[in-house]
Amino acid sequence: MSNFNVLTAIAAPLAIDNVDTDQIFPSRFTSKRRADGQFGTYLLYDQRFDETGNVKSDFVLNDARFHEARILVAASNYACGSARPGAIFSHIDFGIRAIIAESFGPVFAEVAYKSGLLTIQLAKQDTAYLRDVLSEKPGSQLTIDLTEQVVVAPDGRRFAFQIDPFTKRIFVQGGSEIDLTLSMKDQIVAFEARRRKVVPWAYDLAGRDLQSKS
Amino acid sequence: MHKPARTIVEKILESNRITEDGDRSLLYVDRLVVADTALPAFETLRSAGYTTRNPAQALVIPDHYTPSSGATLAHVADDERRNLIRNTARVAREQGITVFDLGDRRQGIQHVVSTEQGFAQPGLVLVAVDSHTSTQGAVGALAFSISADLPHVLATQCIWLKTPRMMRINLEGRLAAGVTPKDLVLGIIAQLGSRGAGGFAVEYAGRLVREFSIEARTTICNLAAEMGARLAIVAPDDKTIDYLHGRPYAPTERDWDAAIAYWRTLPSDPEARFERDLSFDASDFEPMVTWGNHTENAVPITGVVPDPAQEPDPERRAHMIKSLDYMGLKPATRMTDIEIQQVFIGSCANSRIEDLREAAKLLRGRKAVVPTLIVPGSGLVKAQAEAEGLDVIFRSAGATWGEAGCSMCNSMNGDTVPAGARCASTSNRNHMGRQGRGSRTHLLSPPMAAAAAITGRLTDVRTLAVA
Repeated sequence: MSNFNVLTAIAAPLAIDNVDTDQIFPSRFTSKRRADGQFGTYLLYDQRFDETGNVKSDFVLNDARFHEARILVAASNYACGSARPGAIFSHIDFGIRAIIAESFGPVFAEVAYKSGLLTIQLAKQDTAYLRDVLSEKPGSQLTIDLTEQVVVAPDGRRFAFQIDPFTKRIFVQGGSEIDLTLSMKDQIVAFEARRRKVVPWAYDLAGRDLQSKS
Repeated sequence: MHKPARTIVEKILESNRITEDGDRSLLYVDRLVVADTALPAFETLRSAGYTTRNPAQALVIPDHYTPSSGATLAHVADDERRNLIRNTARVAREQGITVFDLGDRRQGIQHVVSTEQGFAQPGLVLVAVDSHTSTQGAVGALAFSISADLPHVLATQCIWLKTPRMMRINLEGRLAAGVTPKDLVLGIIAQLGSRGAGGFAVEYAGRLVREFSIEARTTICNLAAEMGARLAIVAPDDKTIDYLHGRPYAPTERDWDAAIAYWRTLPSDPEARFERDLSFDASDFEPMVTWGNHTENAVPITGVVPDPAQEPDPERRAHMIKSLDYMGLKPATRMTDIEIQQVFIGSCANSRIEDLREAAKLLRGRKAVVPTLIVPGSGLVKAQAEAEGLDVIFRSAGATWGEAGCSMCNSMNGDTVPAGARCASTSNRNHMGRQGRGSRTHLLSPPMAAAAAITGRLTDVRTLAVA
């Protein structure tokens, strides 16, 4: 999978703090299989549907003007809580390619980009500005330019963002991190040999699993 | 030439760093803990043509889907989950990884089991998918969640980690009667907020932490995830060494002295710098309970439900209003006026023997007036509790004594709280729908949960006599 350098797409505002992964991907769906990209069905399920499965019309993603949204603009601590991978995959399967927020949960932003979901941190007032613009004109588009490292609002206002070269490279190339690491196999092998001399007790594991079993 | 002063986290990062790329380090993974949620990761691994690099350094401990009603596959809620437990174990064994199956006395919650087995050790990098992997920092391991990076760790035995910023939380003073380490950490999270430790590695230090048992340390390291930290740690000391001695995966007698000598080098240097260095006096804290849908929404049990109208920040206010609506609570309601319909004592936050003893002190000779589920953290904790007769106390009180696992904390095994019902829970998250769609969770300590079971409402444990 290769990802974008520049994305122009409809963006949806989520003006609430602490949207946790229990909301994003409810725990009762964690045992489901991710066949044919179906995790998109479960994204923010209890916000989008009521107890009987009817669409909650007042939720932003249920507004027809946001149905084609590829970008979310959230608030503080988005995707905090459980580190369940389904929280990442459900966004991707729903069609979301990037999330802009003031901050993210401790693990989400560190991992999501590897699967093709970009996270961008902007200052609180900038995320608030973007959400206001998107709420005033539902269905309007943002541009995320990774080359320039800038988010462009519908009114042309530009918001520079930081992204480290490593994240950018892995995201744009898509899915190559295991190969990148394995390309350093000689270093890893040499490190393992040294490590086994520093903490030999940590690797003397044979037969440990049989102890105290009863 | 002196080496620059370093924190314990910096020391471990340095010793496990293979290479760097900008602010990221490729870290060598000494220990990998795998749960019954890992089948998709194993399938990804296989379909991409990779195999597990060092299976001896991994341990599979099913916990998310395992039943509390009995320790066999027949007790699992449905075929979907039964197959996940069974197939994760099968695929892991094919890769050469040890599995603690259902029915094995060592099985239980991954963070509890990997600690009590001595699989987590000072100075080792230990990773797992689960966000509460910070728990094992209690024994001085650098332990953190890897989420969707499991295939990477399986294939390479390494992980790319962005270097965290350093934060120290010094705990001084004494906990008052009825106040537990859980109350202390809930109170700290309430002060620092959900993002208070965002981007930081938290080291707990100070005289009170030295007095804390390993079990108490696991509780405070566990909850660090709810203030935004990916990892938390307590430097190893004599308590850690005593705790590890003789445990199945701990160093054997042959290596014991060398291991201790190494562990003694790990604590942060006296001159080490912390970007944030905070201190709390434990004697300022009261028993805590949450009112909302994030752990930071904690107030003293003597307090009231807060009023969103007083909150100036619009996103925070929106969050409060939504939470109060979901929780069915009105501002200014006294916490002790809130009736509950369920109690859960367990989870990686509070399911160790000390937690169960504290709950038993309250429940001895009394009756629970609401359904009460008590789930030990591991089969070995369960056996210990039964050897002490705690199960008899719980059963006599009318509580259900379950088999080890995550159970009603995240309700992935089918142990759910009905919609609209309130659960007093010793777990670590009170998110909307976490204990079942529409469930309303109030987080608190084991003795506070036991007190709520006895009265049917949130209760100040200090008002009840201990048997």
